Amino acid sequence: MTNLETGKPPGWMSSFLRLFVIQGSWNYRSMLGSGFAYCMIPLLRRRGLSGHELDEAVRSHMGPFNAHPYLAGLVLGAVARMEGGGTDTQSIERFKRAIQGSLGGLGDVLIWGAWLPATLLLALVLTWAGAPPWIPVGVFLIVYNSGHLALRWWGYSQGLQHGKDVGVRVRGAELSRLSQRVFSGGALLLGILTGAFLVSRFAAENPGALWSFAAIAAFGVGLKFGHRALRGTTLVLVLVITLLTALGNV
Amino acid sequence: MSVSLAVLGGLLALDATSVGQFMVSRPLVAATLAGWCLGDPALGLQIGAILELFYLAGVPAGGSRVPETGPASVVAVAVAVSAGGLAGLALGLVAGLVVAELGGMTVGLQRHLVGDLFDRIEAGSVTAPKITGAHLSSILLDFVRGAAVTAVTVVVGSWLSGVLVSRWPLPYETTVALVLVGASVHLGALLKGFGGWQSRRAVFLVGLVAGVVGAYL
Amino acid sequence: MSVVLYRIDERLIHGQVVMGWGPELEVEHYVVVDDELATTEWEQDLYRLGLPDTATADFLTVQEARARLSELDAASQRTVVLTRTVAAMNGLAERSGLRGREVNLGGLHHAAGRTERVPYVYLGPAEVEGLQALAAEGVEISARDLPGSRAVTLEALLG
Repeated sequence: MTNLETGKPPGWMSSFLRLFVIQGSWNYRSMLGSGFAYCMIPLLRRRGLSGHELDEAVRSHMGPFNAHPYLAGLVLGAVARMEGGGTDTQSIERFKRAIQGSLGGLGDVLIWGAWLPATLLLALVLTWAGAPPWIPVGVFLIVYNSGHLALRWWGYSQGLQHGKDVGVRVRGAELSRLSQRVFSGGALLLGILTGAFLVSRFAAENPGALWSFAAIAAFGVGLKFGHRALRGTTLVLVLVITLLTALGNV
Repeated sequence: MSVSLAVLGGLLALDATSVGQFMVSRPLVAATLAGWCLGDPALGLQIGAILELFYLAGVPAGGSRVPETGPASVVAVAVAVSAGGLAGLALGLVAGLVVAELGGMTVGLQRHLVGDLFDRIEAGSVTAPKITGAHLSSILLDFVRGAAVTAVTVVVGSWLSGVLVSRWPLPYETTVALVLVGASVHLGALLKGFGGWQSRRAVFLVGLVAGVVGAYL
Repeated sequence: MSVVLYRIDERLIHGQVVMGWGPELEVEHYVVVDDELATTEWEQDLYRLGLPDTATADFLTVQEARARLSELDAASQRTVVLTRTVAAMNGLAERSGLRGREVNLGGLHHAAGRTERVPYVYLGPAEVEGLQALAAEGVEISARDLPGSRAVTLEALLG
């Protein structure tokens, strides 16, 4: 039986583990749709579905779906809760359609935009400070993943507990304000790394102040144009190095 | 050795999307692991740290196509080790940047193939075992894809770098400076991603001063 | 001009928009144009979840939005107008509402009868017809998922 307080239905743990591979069949047709159905299977089985009934239920969960992988469990949990409470398929579809974009956005900003680069910057500062390889790598993996796993667990439990009302609860959690704080921390670390580079790599004697100005100008270009400047930069650097190698040390 | 590198590349490819997303596939981690496999973790970390600067600001937003850094980091280190020295560093970096784009394209191809697979299933009768089978096969395909990308590009990259290795013209400091100028564009873009100059300049400048002071000490 | 982007995207407010285009265009306000959504508040709440603190969103019917187009353009707020379908954008473009403007195709996904043009844009006959009607209204159309990616022209999409 479903535990009414936590909303944990039978099979919840198997589904939670499956959520780690929800992106296993990421595709342009349904994105995470097939993965979502795959993750629902333990819950559906433990609700007593089998044979044709199970197949039909699985099919109903295969619609196009996308979310941040760490927060997909929030939707899955909420859907499990709603289905357990007898909500009809159409409302569940509308719920999934409405929540997925927002969660994708929240997750992208918080994790890909803030948490990941901030924890990587921490590791880069440690690397620059001359720590042996296992320290920056270990620190990054532990710090990053403690946030990662906490978010997965929190999302799934919130979904299971609140069902359709999870939207209101998540706003209460102020994930986006959390992102802002991580942004600030990230900007601080970014400053430290940039300052350290300016002094250690572009110091006056060698290779020369000209490179410092080039680096500051490059930083300005990035700051102004953002993502639009990135592919071009990579292309230019690859071309320059290839060209220099091709011309050789004549 | 190339078999173990291919397996590592396959596993790192899985981490990025299909399995776990523990971010072992980030250049900083992946290149250090590859360096460890090849007996030089310090070189691995050095290359990983430089490559990482080029992917910090380009984050996977909403499933758009992104460079694949896991296998690329393995290739970067393998090329650097096989070419050796300073040229190895420059060529390894280029190999990493190029293979990340190539890898990203194969991810796109995989997503089409998987889409077709599920399309065929949905056109017939959907059953739970079929979905489970197709899902797990897709994960296996992703592993094989990552391993293949790694194996092929390690071989090609090492051969190419062997041809080019004696030709690298720049001294160490200039090589690093050149690469860091490129990386600076990415760091600037990252500050924009963190909220831009207006909203983050105070913390950024505090950090900058701390970094400058720290570097002098 | 204050509407900084017109976009057709089934996902409406989501990661690519908020995180990709949001900072790039310094977006302060989103106007979601969808007849169905304009009346269901619980769904609007779910979409609003994804907004940063610095942005707000309104949900309008096509008719309401068309009536307010020039007002949105005159306001100082930097606004993104989103529709789920080509048809809703056609509705906005009626009576030359969008003449000379650019419309961005950001995400129309696989559905029965649609074929892939780029990985994030699948079009069926209805969509093709709608886009051609938009172009005939003097609207510039291209597909681009993120500010950093290459824009694909309408000719290339239909070719």
